[in-house]
Amino acid sequence: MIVNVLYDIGNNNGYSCNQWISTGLESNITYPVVDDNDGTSIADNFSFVNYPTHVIVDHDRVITNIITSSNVQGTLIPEINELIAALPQSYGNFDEITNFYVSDNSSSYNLCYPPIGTLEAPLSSIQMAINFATDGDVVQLFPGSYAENLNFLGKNFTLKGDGSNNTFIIGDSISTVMFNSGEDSLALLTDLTITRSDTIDTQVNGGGVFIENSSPTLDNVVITGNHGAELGGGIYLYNSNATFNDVDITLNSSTSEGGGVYMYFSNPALNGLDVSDNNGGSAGGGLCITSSSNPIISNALISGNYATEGGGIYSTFGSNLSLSYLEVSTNTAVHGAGMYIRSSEAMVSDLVLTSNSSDIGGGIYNHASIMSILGGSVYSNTVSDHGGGIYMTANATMDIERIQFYDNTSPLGAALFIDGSNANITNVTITENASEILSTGTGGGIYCNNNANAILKNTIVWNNAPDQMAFSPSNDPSTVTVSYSDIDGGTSNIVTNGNVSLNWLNGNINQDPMFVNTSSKNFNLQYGSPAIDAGDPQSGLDPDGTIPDLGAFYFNSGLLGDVTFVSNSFYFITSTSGVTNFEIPISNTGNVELDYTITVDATIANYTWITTVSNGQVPIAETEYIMIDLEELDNLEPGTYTGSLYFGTNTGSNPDIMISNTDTVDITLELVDNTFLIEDTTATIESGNIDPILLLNESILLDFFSSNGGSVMVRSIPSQAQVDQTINVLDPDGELVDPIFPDQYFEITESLEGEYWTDIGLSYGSLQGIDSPGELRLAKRVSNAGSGVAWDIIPINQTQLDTSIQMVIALDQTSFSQWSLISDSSKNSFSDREGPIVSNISFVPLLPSHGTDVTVAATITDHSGVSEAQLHYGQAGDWNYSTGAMSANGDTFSYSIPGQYVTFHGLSFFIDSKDQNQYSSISDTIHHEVHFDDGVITTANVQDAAFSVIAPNVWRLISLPSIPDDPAVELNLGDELGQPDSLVWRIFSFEDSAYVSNPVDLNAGEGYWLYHRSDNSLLFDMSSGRTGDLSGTSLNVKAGQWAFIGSPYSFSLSIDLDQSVFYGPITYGLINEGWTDIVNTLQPWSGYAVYNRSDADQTIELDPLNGISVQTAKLDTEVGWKVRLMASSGIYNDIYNRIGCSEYAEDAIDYRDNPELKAPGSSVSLSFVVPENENDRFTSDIRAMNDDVKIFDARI
Amino acid sequence: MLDVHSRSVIDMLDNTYFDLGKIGKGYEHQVKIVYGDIDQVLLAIENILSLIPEHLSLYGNYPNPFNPSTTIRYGLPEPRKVRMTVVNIKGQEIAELINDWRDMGRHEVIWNGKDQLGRSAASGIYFTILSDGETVRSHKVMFIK
Repeated sequence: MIVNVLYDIGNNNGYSCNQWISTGLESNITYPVVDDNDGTSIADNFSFVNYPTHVIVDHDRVITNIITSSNVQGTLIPEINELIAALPQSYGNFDEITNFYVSDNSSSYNLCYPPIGTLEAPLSSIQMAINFATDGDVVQLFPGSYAENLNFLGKNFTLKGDGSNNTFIIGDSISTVMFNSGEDSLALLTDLTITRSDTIDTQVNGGGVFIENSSPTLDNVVITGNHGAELGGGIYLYNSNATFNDVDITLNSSTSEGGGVYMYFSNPALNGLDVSDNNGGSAGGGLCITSSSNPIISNALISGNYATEGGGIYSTFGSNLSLSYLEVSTNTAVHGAGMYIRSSEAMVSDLVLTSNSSDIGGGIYNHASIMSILGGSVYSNTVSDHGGGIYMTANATMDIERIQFYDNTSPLGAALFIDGSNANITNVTITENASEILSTGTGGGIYCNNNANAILKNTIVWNNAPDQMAFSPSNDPSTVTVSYSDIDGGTSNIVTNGNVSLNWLNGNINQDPMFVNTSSKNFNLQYGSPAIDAGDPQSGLDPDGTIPDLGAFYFNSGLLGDVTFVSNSFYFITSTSGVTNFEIPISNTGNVELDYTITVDATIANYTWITTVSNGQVPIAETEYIMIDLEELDNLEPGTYTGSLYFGTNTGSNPDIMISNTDTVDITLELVDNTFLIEDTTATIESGNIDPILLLNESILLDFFSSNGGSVMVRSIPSQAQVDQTINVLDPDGELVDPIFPDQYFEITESLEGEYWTDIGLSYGSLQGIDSPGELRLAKRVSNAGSGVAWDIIPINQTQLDTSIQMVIALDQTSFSQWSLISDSSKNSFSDREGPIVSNISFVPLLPSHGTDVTVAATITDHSGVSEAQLHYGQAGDWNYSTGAMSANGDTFSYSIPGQYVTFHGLSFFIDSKDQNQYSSISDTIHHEVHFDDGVITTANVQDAAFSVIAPNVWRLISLPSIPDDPAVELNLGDELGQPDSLVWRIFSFEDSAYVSNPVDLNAGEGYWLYHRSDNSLLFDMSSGRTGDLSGTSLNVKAGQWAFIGSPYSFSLSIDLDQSVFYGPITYGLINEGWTDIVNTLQPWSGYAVYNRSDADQTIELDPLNGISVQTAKLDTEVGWKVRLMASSGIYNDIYNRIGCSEYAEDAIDYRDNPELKAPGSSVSLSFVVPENENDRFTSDIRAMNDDVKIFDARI
Repeated sequence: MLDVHSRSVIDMLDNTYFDLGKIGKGYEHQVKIVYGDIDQVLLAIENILSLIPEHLSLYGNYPNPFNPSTTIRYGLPEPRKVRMTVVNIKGQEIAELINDWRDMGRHEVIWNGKDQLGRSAASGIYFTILSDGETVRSHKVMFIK
């Protein structure tokens, strides 16, 4: 039977359950019946016909529809009405709910039944949550994949995933997410991925997101894998002012235009875009901007996209683009691989346009558009036809300023192809572009055609191939105006083809502009370049206040020579047999090549322990490493040495003049003896992504994701790096208030070509004082940094804890240096606060004999060293320990216990040790049995023995106070009493509720009746044996029976039995000839009677170490009265008999009514006949507390 | 506290010692401790004592005359070994009904009108004889067919 009762819980907001069904969502509704208020199923209360049925009711409980697979509606209605009547009156006010939760693993909660959408009972349908939501609500998704198509329904709420890498909305048929009801910026889609399972219908626009007449916000969203839409494979915008932040639009495609995004009459603000690898069909592989759209796009990567026109961006129909901080790279197209700007306007700043490839217009194809480009680089774009960097045509206009063109290639116009258009080229560097890809190639820098008009000012056109400028030999002549520019070869290197009007104005030069480093593509000007201050004085001043320089980058005349050391103090620790060199970095942060000289001051007793280069050069903006070699270490004693390197540099106002002693770098050498545990290793790193490697006893982990291969050397130094406590650590998370370090840090250097990317993990497994591994952080600073260098703390979001290998890992690192763990002192101490570890405790002989010495040895270790170890020892049952200092031999500590402490009671000892920090630890106490000879244990020499002698002519309960080697009665009693003779002595055991005369053995732990008529002061001794098991002795008492027990220990033992289970123990004859009351001590030599009043066998655990039986119980205090009755006759008595009434007692037998046990032979017994039990006798009779007259029936 | 044997009573609130004197061997000496309201205690003691004859007693049997069996009642002031027999008017012992220890108090025994060999006795007058070794009690019974 399946019945779904669906509520209209839409609160008149236009939603009804009928809509669920009509949209096919009923298939998700799998719960068979509704629950009632307490959540229990009520399905069993109804006997529906076995057909799936959906009952639709509105919020007034009026049935609006019944859908069933069989025409049984008429018979169902009465039951359904009954079912509906059982439903709760209140369905919850969804207007009051602001947070709805949805899980893709929540099919159990598909009912339209409250509570729904809670954290504990999430909905399984996002759209269901949207239906419930109102403006300002949050629909929170659990991680998972949701196969749904969503519509925000005009509501301005937040739909939030758990992160784009683990929350996926997978649509089909139509757009995955739709905003088409006027949603505004408060309609927020965030932290999830939008994709689809199919190829969208080509009649539909917006495969991932469809936005029409709405302006939602997308934040941290991934739009990927959406295909098939006609316009806008990823996103379609129409009449929208949407806002995107941190949105990745990748691997989408459209059949017509806009593989990533299609904009139509829209003015979105897009920031932090990654538009990559989309396919736009005919136009706009990444973005297609059309019909007067005015997007503002910043911080965007447009990469790897394709379309016939505008692989990265396509703009047309009067659109107006504002683009900044844009990288457009590796896009492909037929026309305009990077951008195709047609009949539009575009203002671009801070542009990187690189590696785009097409037939025409590799970087930009400007068709009849007005563009300005201010700042940036256009390089490595390539075309097969013309216009490698930029192609302009159809009366286009471009202002190009502060742009460097290099490495662009094209048969015609490698950097620029100007076709019937106008270009203002100001402060531009055009160099190393090439048209030689075809033998007929020309216009390595600029090619003009058909009435082109180019104006060059303050521009460098240098070293393009095969020429700097060329003009088409046909079509209308072009016009070029050149002023204050550095043209390679001057006019001689311009191929005019006689079809140009060349205006060669003032200020032009033809001199090597002296770029800083052409091989590294650094086209800044060097000091002394003729391009410096060679610009048009009327063009305004450069930022350094001088006449404009030529080219894209001005030379800062205010900054000439400058040197920077990452630290002015270095610290190196090594041994005479260890590493003897290291490098210190020197950076040229000036504007001229840095020259330096070095004078070494590191001499001790005529031994100069530092050698290094005497001089060197550092190119502009580069860092070089100066090798410091340590010498004469064999002639130095271990210790600390300080030296200095005095640098002379050309950092004055005239870079041609060296100035002595401009900088000093101090070197501290910590030379340790050879036993110091500095370790180093060099690991070979294969190129590419390699498996993680663990180095130096797994104390450090390197996990390269990419590198060009090489080697890495890691040094582990077992001390704290030198730290100046006044130098703060640089913690981006601000959590390290009182930073502390462990006694271990690492120096890591690499020999790797190019850039690399790796995780670096440091182990905390062997460190002391790690209380909160999750609070450990990683710190790094320059290699061999001295004390004054601050630590950079790896941000928490780049730090990972791996408890399985006990490592803290810095993610995605791109450099090595000095590394250390670090923690706030409130989280971890890094100090040894644990006492020594005691292990391998041993002693000889293994079974010591009474009175012989015992030697105890143990392995004791501690991180900070063991300062002392003491052995505490004594006899079992005594607990007054003597103490002896253990002697050390390496990690082995030992002590010999004098034989006087080794007795038949058993031997106990433990080890108390302290470390150098006075932290102590105490080992477990070792207890061991001791062997003794015949006659050693007597009734006279055992502590607290029940009998010093065993009186004649009376019955006594006895037991053996240890474990005999041979339990034979004749050995343990017969030596005193002779052969068993009923006229002289008798002994009884108690077995199966009956006395057994003359047992063969006396078993330890059992009690026996003994009667003798021998000497009046007979002293007994045991045969040879050993101490009772000091780990404990178990005594069994059968259900409903008496047992006679004894303690197999030669010292008294406390016992406290639960008297609701047991009665006893009691013994006989301690006070005249009668039973004792319940005792709480088992004494050596004595036997005891215990009764198990329960209906299950019981075990009494004797614990000689703690001295207390575990069968303890606290009985409730009861109100009532007791009278103790004592009977006596001559020497015989029975004095522990009780009658009374108690508030919890019963008139029948309960645990308060203890059985009477009669002693053998002559005795007095006072007992009671308890009601309802005429046959047994009890030593106590406690009745119920009521108004009845109590008649206690005593028998004597 | 009531010593059932001596029929003496002490108030335990006033006395903590009770000399029972010499008690018998071979059977339990009975003492009753009665607790409650004083009037109830006294009534209970009276009831206890009323159930215990002061002397060896042989009460009437019922029914009498009887056929086929009759119940004979008797009482002991303390546990005793007793013997009960049935004799005819000639003094001949027809049956032995009891020869064992019996507790103090009132008891009953049934005679089924048969002799020692299990044969039905003849109609007539018989006597039940109860003896504890010191005292003998007898009672006339009539068996009819």
